[in-house]
Amino acid sequence: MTERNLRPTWDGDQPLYRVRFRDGEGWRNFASAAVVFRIQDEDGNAIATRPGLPVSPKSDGWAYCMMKGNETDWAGIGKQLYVIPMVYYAEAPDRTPAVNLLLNPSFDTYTGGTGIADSWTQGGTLADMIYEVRQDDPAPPVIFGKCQRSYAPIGGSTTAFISQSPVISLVPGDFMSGGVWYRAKVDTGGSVTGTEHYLTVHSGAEAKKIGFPASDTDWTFIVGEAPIATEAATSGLSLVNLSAKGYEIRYDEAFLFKGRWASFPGEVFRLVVQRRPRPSKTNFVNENFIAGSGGFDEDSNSDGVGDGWSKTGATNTYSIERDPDHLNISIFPLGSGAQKVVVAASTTDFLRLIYRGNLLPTEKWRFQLYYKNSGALSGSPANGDFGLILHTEEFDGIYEASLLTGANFSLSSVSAYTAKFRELTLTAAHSALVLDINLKTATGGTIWLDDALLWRTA
Amino acid sequence: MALVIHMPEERFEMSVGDKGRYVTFQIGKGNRKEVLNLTGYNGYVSFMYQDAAPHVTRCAPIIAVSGLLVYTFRGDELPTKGECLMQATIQLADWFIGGAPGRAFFKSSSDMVRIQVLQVAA
Repeated sequence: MTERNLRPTWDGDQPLYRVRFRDGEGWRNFASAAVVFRIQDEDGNAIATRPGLPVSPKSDGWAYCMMKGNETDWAGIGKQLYVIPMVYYAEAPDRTPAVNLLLNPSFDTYTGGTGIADSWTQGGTLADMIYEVRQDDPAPPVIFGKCQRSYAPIGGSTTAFISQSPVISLVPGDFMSGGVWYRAKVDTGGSVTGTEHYLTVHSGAEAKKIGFPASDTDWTFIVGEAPIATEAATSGLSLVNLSAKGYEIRYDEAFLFKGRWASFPGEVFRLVVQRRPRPSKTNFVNENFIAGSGGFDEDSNSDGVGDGWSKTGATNTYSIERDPDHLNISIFPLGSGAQKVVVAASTTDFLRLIYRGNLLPTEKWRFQLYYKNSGALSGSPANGDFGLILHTEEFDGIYEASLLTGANFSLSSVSAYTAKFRELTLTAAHSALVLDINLKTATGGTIWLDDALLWRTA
Repeated sequence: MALVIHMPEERFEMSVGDKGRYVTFQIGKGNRKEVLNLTGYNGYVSFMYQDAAPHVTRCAPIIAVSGLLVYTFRGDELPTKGECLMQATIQLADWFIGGAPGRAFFKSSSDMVRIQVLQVAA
């Protein structure tokens, strides 16, 4: 097996690579294929599994590989990562690309009501199982549009599963094969064994079960093949999440076909991670992890909000303050702007910045911000509705958040920049911290925000 | 859309406390022919001395359709004589609404720019 080098990345960066796969003299056609990148360190230890995104047109053999910051985080030590592509082709018995027998395999069509995507049927006893068709996975590389969520809370009694059973003529010796992209998360206190959560390809009484792992798993692809021993007129694919042990799983892009998976590892890519100085866990100002975005100094896209921050809601009025009288001068190095917000009793407005890195249990993080206002504001915001929240993401270990009590900015007159902070001590490993500035409910004036800081204090 | 930042290792000279000069980074696509449209991105630059954490990290404006990140020195980036390292980073404005972490986001840094910082006599 040969290796090729990808462009080096810097310690902690989140690069996006575009790689092309050759198939003999031509390029691989990914029209009926799934691509998964397995990432290992120099010693062969598994670091991560990442979905690959075939680039349109899929016949050209290009695929994107996106790395997360915690996968290239080596604390300043130069390292190499090995990116091993796995390609899964659905092949019909005559070795041509197989036709997917499933209807609505991407779960994108949903007319509502049941929580289950159209064309899929629920079996077993629903009890407290929660099915939802969600589209809040933001543009993952492979998983497009909506996905099917199945959540069995701890202590329930569900035996529900979803399936499809398309008509197909099968004779002994045939193979039925299936696959699905999935993402799994185990609740705190969940006791998942791995035997109650599986994909099954079946035909009559014959079935092949492939278990989903009993641990948090990022989007990855799983396949199963069932040899057929007796003649049959239908086959099926079931997605099972039986036990009530706190297991949440999302499915997308399912595939069921007569034939077998042709799977092979592609050419290995080597990725050099270059060394870079990293901030340490002290709380000096210079170790601000979000210094590049926290200053509200630039607004390149003229949306009124400092670069790097995402804005939800448009009830408030946002602009970058350039008047030196309204900038925070208590923090070095000095910036040239501050975030100005004219508040107007919004019910939805907030600003968000996400810091992505290698975040470990017992670390204590502080999200601090300086603010002042134009005089007393009115409104009665609930705890956290007009202030700071530091939290983690779903599907990234246990969800953890800073206390809402005491999170709000003062509604009284604050004429000089005043620090407000929230702290969070992590109990699980994470790959992201979400910094929210909620700007709801308050009205009747202006608030200025400057010099947002993210420190690791312990 | 793989990313190439066209900043082969550069060396140039500046003096302690210099301000007003600017450095431009051209961000290119992986095909090394076209610039990357930086709409939706933000950028920043970091200054550090060898084996030390960055002493200044600051937002830098981007000119989106031109794929440019422009940083203008403010005077506090080069506090002491010696070789100061400068690095630019671009990243997508980040977002999630309960879904998969890290999917819609990436960031990438330029190679280091080495600035020979000269001491100007008082």
